[in-house]
Amino acid sequence: MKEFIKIVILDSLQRIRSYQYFMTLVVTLYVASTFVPAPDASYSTVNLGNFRPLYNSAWVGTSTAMMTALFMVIIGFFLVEGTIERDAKLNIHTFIKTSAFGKKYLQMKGLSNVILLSLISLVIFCMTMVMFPIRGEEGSFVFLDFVLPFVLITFPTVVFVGYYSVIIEVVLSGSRVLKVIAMIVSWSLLIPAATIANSSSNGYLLDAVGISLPIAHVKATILNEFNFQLDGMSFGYQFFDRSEQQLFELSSLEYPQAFLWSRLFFILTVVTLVYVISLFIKNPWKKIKMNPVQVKKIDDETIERRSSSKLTLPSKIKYGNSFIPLIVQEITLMKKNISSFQKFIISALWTSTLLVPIDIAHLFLIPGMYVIYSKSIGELGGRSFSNNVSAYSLAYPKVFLRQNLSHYFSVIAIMIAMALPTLVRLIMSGDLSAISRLTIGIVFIASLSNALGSLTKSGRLFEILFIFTTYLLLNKLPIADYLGAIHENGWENMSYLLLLTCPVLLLISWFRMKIYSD
Amino acid sequence: MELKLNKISKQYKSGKEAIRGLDEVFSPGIIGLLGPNGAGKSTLMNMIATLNAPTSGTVIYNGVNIHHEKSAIRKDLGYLPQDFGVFPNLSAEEFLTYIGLVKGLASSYLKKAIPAFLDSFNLIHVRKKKISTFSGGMRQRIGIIQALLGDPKIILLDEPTVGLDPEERINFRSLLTDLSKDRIILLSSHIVSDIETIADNILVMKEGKGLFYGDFEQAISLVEGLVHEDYAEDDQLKLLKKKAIVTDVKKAGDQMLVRYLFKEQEDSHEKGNLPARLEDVYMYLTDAV
Ligand SMILES: Nc1ncnc2c1ncn2[C@@H]1O[C@H](COP(=O)(O)OP(=O)(O)O)[C@@H](O)[C@H]1O
Ligand SMILES: [Mg+2]
Repeated sequence: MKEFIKIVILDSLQRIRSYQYFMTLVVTLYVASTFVPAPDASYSTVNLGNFRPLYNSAWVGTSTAMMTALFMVIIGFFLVEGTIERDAKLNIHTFIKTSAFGKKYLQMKGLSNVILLSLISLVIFCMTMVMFPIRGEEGSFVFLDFVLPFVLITFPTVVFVGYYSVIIEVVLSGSRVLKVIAMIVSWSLLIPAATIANSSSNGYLLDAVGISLPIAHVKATILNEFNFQLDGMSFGYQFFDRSEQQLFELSSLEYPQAFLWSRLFFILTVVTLVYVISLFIKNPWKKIKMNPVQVKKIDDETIERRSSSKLTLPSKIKYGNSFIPLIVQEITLMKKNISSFQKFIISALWTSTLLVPIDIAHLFLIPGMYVIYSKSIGELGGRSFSNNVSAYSLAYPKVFLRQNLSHYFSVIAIMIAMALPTLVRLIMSGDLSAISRLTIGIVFIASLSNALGSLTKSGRLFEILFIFTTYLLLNKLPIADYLGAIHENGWENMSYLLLLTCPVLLLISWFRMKIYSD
Repeated sequence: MELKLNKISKQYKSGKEAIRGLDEVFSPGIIGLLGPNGAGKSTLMNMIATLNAPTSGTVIYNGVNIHHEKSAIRKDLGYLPQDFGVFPNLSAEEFLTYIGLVKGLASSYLKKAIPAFLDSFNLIHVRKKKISTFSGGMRQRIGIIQALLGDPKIILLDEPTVGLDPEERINFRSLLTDLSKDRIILLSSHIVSDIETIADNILVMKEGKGLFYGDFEQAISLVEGLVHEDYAEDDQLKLLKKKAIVTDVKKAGDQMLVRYLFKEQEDSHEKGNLPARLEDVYMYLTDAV
């Protein structure tokens, strides 16, 4: 048992100590920070019609727990997916297969998934608690109102999702499309089931997410106070007018025994299922295709070659200063530097910008895409240094500047491509001011990255700054409104201020580049 | 065409004197920079590539001080540094196109030149593969091609044969010999055999100083009549190492066949009668400075 725990911890460590996990954490925090909107924010995540709860410990703790549980059901799988496959790609699987540990492998993966997802939820909860004094309307901080929903609602859901992901991954091994479909079908069954489940002892058995109890509690409170029967609750981002809402105060949640048993029931079910599966599926890697992703060094020996060859070059050297081929080449390069994970999320967000209200696309989805892409944006100005291509490119005339300029324009082009659906929709609605604010924002981001990158020779500073600013933006701080999405009184001229700083930033990068290459 | 080093010295900020009063004139041909690690070869190349300025002295290319007017040499330059990077996610072809384009070369030229280079460096079959999948030697050849793109007049190759297998070394040498007309090619190495067969002239460096500059015959003549070969036992070898420069030791049965030379021809020693090799000269020059 001791060994088993050790292996679980080591497996989680290997996964936690990756840049991807770090980024996941950052992006998750970003999303999670919108779970509990500020009392005066113009959107809500838990929609209660005309009623609005007072922001006390009970409400903030409970609603964060609900949102995190839902978030884990929807996103959790994508955060942990592929771990079994990766062991095969790293070639560890041969040695697991042949060891006595083989039987416990799937249990280990389940637990390791749980650790990863728990850490993320834990960070969300710590953040909520830190934010509470800032956002809360009713000062008293009741620790248990945060901890109990986390332990009794969110955590069991996390365990469920962690193990459920193992089941999906093993049973549908080899086809990512099937896995994704299975996941979408799963949550489109689990979530409605949870919201319609009634709070009787049997009703809880429909609810794997654990949100039926708090929903019932909120409904009961409203019925009590306003004598109004709320039909249902919906989750998701929605804009509306706050002024007409009626305030109510939620008391701490109480947990009936039947609910607690149902939480345990779901955990035991998935753990048992994984155990049963591990009895039948001895080789979970059987269907994984090894070749395409595995980085295999080309065997130099096998290449057909001559030991003495003649070089026939074109007799005349032609110079061309056309910029287009360079930008095309640059975009090829940038396309290849983006992981399929990023691609997946960005395309999901991109598609969403076609569907959601324009305001939401402008304020949340576009910055979201940029945050996910921020590592590549941050490379502006510093990439040649971090790849050590500067070791020779600096020695060629004007190369450094040309490299930077083409990189700069292709980053802008890619960012515009990400915002394209929104831009088109803005054009159709004739909102010229919003178009210019968005475009200026994009140019500003690229210029800022370029200046910071060339000053520090790396993209870290920009990335951190950008993520932090975007976080402030989600809290609707007008000063962080780089894309001009909030556009509130007195801040209309912000975009023009940004526009003015662009030449300054470019001058800084240009000056810095000149010093490097001189 | 002429590249002139005018009593150049380079002291790094750390206080290290990497180059001390180097004074040579390079004309077209292949110049082998030979010296142990830390001799200052990379520092010198970096300086000619204008990425580093000398603390004193000047480098003159066709009458122009290159550190005052950097573009004078940069437009004619091809440079392979000792440590260099690539964009590993690009294929060989894509990466070279990228470098060619930023060098200002036309796409139409690159479309012909890059396959020609890839072919002659035996990389044509893997041109569509990501560089991250390449072995060290293949990556090194990408670096060499990058330096040769656009037909530069001055080619600086800092330890280019690192990671190349014997067959590729031969290929590389023959390609370089073809290119050497009307070009100044500087080639550094700490391995004598890399330089021996292709360099028209050799510059031997140690601790930042130029110990010898000249062609192969001139180099050999330095140790003419100084080279000996004898069988020796273990303790005899120890004794010999104190008095002479041992350039080679081969195992021969119980004993060892030792090749050595005395620093100066003294009356007490009989004249050596073995034909000298460049290895002997190198050991002779760098052994005791
Ligand atoms: N950037 C630097 N700062 C300080 N010392 C350096 C630097 N680069 C090289 N040196 C020192 O200068 C000397 C010459 O180095 P280098 O030119 O790399 O020699 P080589 O290429 O012949 O091996 C070495 O002693 C090295 O430690
Ligand atoms: Mg060196």
